[in-house]
Amino acid sequence: MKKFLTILMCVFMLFSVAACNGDEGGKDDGPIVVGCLQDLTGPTSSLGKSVLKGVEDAIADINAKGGINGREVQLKTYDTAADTTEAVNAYINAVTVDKVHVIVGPPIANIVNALKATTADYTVPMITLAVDPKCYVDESGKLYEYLFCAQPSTVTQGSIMATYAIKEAGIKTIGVFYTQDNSYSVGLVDPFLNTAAELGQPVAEANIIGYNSSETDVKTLIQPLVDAGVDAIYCPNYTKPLILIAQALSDLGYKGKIISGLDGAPAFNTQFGGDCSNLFFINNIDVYEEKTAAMIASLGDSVGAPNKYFLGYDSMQMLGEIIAKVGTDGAAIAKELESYSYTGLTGTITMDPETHMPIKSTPMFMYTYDYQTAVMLKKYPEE
Amino acid sequence: MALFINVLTQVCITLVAVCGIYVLTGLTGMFSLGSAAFMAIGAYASGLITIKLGLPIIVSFILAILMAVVVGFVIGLPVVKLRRDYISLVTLGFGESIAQLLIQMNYLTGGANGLLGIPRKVKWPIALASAIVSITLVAMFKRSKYGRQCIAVKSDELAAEAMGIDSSRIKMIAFLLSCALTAFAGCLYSFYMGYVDPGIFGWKKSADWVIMVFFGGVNSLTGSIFGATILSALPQFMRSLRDYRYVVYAVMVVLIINFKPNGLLGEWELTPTHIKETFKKIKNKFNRNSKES
Amino acid sequence: MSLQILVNGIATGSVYALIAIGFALVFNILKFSNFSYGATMTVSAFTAYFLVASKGFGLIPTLLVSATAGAIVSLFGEFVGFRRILLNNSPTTYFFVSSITLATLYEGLVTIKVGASFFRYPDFFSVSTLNFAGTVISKSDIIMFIISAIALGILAVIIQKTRIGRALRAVSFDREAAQLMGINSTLIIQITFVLSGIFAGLAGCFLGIKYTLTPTLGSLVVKGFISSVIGGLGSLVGAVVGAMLLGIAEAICLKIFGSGWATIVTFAIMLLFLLIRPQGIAGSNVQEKA
Repeated sequence: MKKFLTILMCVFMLFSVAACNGDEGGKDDGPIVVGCLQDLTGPTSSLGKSVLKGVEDAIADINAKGGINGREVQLKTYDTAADTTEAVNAYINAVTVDKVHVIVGPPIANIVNALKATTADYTVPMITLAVDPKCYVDESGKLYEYLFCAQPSTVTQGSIMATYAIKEAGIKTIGVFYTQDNSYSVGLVDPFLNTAAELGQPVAEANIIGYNSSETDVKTLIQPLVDAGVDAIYCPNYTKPLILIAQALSDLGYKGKIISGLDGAPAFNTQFGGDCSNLFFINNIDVYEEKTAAMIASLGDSVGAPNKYFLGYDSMQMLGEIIAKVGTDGAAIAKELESYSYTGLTGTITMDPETHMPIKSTPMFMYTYDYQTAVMLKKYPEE
Repeated sequence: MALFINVLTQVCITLVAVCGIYVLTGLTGMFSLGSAAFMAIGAYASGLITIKLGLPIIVSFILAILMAVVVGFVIGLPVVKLRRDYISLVTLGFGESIAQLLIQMNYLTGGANGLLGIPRKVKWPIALASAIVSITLVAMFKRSKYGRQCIAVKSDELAAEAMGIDSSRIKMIAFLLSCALTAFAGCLYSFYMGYVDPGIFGWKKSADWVIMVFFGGVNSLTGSIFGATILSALPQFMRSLRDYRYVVYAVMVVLIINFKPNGLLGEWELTPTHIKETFKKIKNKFNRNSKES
Repeated sequence: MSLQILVNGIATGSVYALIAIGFALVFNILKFSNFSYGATMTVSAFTAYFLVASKGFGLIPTLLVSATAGAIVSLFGEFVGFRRILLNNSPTTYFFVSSITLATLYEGLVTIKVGASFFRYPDFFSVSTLNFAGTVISKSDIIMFIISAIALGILAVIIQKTRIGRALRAVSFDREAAQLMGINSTLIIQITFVLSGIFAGLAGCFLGIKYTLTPTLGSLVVKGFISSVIGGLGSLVGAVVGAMLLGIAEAICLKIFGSGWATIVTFAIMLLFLLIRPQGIAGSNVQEKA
């Protein structure tokens, strides 16, 4: 009998604790509560932590200037732990228990895909940094009203990289080496291939190699591309695989170029620790611009992915401006956000109400390295 | 409240899977690290059948479970013949291979992007009902002659064979039942989330389930349910601890394994007899009190 | 071309060999697969990084610190996770569960300290590759191979020639009988864990050099498991041979099938092996008691 009652008691206790975790958010004149939903543990945690730091610093700056319309901004952090079920729970916790007014979401497409259907049940606007356009629409193509993206899509990025490589760098033959079990990597491949074909340099099927992130022997896998002697290899992978790839290519004596996405940006150079001059990468910040450069210098090593930091910072500042303008009503924020134009450290972000992502002409930059110093090559869209 | 409902639904889905693992590991003693792959089969198959073929949900569930059982049969043939240690390795291999296959077939399964667009029809009543059905099913199995044969094989296979039990056959039956249950859990999962992410079906998930069974009491169905409930729901309440969650979780499990190696509940089962006894005791106490006053 | 593949395979195989040996050591003694081995590798590699490598020391001190850290963690694991199970004579499945949980614990601790991003050991070599007969071999691979060979050689000497080695073999054959003959089984088991931990440290350090340091480094322990099985659970030589074969087979499969299918094919080969020759290459002198 004791055991039976003990079990009953434990189970009820457990669930009751869950149910009553209420908080004061959601009121109209109290503090403004911002939720930050990121992968803080797991393989993509350095990205999530960088975004979180950006949001934290933005909130600190806002509060230092007296808050938004005199109201203090509070941050609540949630860890999605690279687990889609956990993400849904965290979201519901944020929205129903902590009653946040807005959310800054993760740069991971799978998590946003898992969350998007749930966002339709609530009226809390969420800005995420996942660059896959499919994350913001349902199967019939209809946009989710409260879901937005603050980073140019994979289509834009892939296209810019291909354009630069072929038109500016004069690259003729290209190989592709991507991570096939990672949706970010996969999403960046097709736009690149399409643009390359349009510009007259289609990539041969045999030169497109996908590999699994758990694979340890990169050298054997990338050997065919080295043997084919392509001018450049397009590697839209996360930073860690990118380092291994660059290492393997240097070991194999590959003399061509590497084209990478945002993940080739600093701190790739310090983590790779060698000569990165053969790398072209895209970035969304202008590292020479005074304020940006100062912030990068002050961040030092504390942030693993500086461009995610800036995206987090800008997203929060953008939300701050909008809330100052229209208040904390979810619907009003969403309406304002869908065509808002914000000028921040990542350039001028103008939202496109048709896609809930920045319009195609949001600035992005192509860079390379001179040994380990980043050198900006070109700004897109071209003036 | 919404959070509570969601956690409840997730716990119920996990319970269905853990019932399957209980049959396999608790009753029959086979340690499988590939069970999550069957959940993947169930999730993807049912999702795809509904999306591509437009069949009603019940039909997709049944078809998906059948598919998982067929795959389970193919895998089960070598598994039931191998020594205990090899079972974990072989099932691990199968599990990882199936997970890999699902990513490879990205024209069908959406590859790394996962499967989108599944109608979200499973809410907490269905999940709860499924959990209750699965628990009842496994409880009945345990009390039936099959259950007894499983326990015999687990304790001492040679002796069981000497008593005339066909150990390969009963191991296969247990294996198939666990495949069906995990696949069912997968179906529920995909229609609950509306989206299937390929990355969650690795050996770590299978190991999680085995730990739940051991934590609650490897020989007890009630124990496994209890273990599953606590270990699933616990991380939700430790959200504030963030990084320390896993450490606390691991410490707890290690303590239980070491100090109470039969799990929290050991052999104890929640049976109608026990419940009746409990009420009798309460009634007696009550009568005694009222008599005295 | 195939020579390059072979070289790649051997390089990978020699690291797998270190994993397999540490794994097989514990398996011989306790008859179970120690899944916390992978996490032990991770912890030792990170400890070495923080204490030594980031301060600018070279390869040898890093390896020594890593090995020591591995030994300590392994011993701790034995005491916390496995001692009581041993004493209670519980069925071997409890070891599995305990070891997996320990693995989660170690990984969780590392994640807290490190934050789940990754680190790189600084380059220990100035020129990183050699060109030899048309193939490219990286210096770190050669050093790893040499150090693995030396470590394995030392281990072989210990096991075959010393008293402790004999005691180890006795305990792995029959623990109770050895105890009756006056051998302190508990101490021998502890020594085994220490040896296993040393190898974990070495393997972790090498893996960190080759593949960058992340908290999930430990998931490669599965390769060690597979190598031991191919080589014959219970045989140390078999584990090494199995690891080499696995490394080469993987490299060849990668070349032919590409990344995704290679995993599947490798497992299929392993399964075939198990069905045809379940005692592995070297065979096992462990009889399955009824």
